Amino acid sequence: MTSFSLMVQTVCLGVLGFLLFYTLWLMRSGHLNAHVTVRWVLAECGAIVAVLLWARLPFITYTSAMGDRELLVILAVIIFAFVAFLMLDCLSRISTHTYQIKRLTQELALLRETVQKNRGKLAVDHEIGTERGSACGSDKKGCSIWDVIIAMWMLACICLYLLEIWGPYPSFLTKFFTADYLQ
Amino acid sequence: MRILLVIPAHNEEENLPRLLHEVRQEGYDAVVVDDASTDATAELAGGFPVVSLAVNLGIGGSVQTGFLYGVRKNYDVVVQVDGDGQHDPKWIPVIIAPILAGEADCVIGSRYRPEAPDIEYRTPLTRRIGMYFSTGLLLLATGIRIHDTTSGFRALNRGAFSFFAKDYPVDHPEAESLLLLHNNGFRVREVAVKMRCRVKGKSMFSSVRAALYPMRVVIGFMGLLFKTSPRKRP
Repeated sequence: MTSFSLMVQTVCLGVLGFLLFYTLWLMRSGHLNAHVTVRWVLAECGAIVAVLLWARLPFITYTSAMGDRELLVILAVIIFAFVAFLMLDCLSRISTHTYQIKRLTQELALLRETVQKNRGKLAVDHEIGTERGSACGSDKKGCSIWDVIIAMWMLACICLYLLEIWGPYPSFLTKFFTADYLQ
Repeated sequence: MRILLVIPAHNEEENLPRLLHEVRQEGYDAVVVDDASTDATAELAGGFPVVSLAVNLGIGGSVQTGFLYGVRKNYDVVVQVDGDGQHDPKWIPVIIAPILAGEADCVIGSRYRPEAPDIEYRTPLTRRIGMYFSTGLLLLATGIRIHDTTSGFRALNRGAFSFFAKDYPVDHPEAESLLLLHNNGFRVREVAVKMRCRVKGKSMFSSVRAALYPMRVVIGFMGLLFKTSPRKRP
C-alpha cells in the first residue's frame, strides 16, 4: 500500500472514529435513545470495517480500474459522515420528542383514569339523588313547605279557570274580579 | 403495607381474564396498563382500574406508567406481573418477603436459580443466549449475579419504584433497570419462582429482536456506565 493510500485510510478512519465517538456521546448525554444508537453504531462499525478492508473488498477492487481510487473512497466516507452527522442531529431531536410524547401519553392516561373514576362516582351520586327524588313523590314526609305551596297555587289556578269557564262567579268573588271593589 | 400489582398488557384479551381472576382471589390491588391494545383488553379489567395509553409505548413505557400510578396512589410496594399470564400471583408473597423484611429494594422472580431451577419452563434458544449475555455483562459491570435478567416478575419498594417513575429504560428494560438500580445504591435480590408458559397469543420478543438484544444491552449498559450526571431532559 502506498503512503498516499495509507494517508487516505487514516483520514477515513479518523472521520469515522469521530462519528462513532459523537454517536456515543449523544447517547451518553441523553440526546439519543439507545434504540436508535444501536443501529447507528452498527452502521458506523460496518463503515470502519469497510475502510480497513477497502483494498480487498470486491466493490472497491473494481474501482481500482478507475483513475482516482483513493479520492473516491475518501469522498464516499466524507459524504457518509456528513449525512450521518445531519441524520444524528435530526434523530437527537426525534429522541427528545419521543421522550416528551411518552410523558404526555402517560399523564394523559393517568388523567383519563382519574376522570373516569370521578365520572363513575358522579353517576352513582346522581343515581342516589334520583332515587331520593322518586321517594319524595311516593312518601310526603320528605316534601318541603315549598312543594305544598306550589301544589296549592296550581290547584287554585285550576279552580279559577274552571269557574271562568262555567261561570257565573259567586257574588263575593265577582267583586274582586271586576273593578267593583274599588268603588 | 399497601401492595399494588402493575399489569402491563398489549392485546392480551385471551390471557388477561384468567390472570385477573387469580389476582382477585388472592385479594391484591391491581392496575392494568393497556398499552394501546387493538383488541378488548381494556374492557376485560373486570373492576380493576385501567390506565389506557393512547399510543403504544412498549413494555418500558407501560411499566413506568404503572410506577407513576403507584406513586400517586401512595402504594408501598409495587409488583410487576406480565399480562400474558406467565406469572402466577401465588408467588407474590415469596417475592415481596425480602422487601417486607427490609432486606432488599428490588426482588426478581427467577426461573434459573441454580438451587431451584424451573425445569418445566421452556425458554427459546435465542432468548436464552441473550439472557446469558446480559447476565455476564451485569456481572462484569456490577459484580452481582442475577440469573434471570429478563424476568418481568419483580417487586419494588417505594424508593425503587419512585426512582423508576422518573427515569426508566424504554425497550427491553429488564437488564438495564438492574444496572440503574445498582448504580443508584438500591439493593437487588433474586428469589426462585416457577413460571407458566404463555397459553395464548404471541410474545413480542421475536427472533429478530432476540438477535439484536445483545447489542442493545451493550449500548444500554455503556450509556449507563459512562453517564456521570442525570440525563438532560427538557
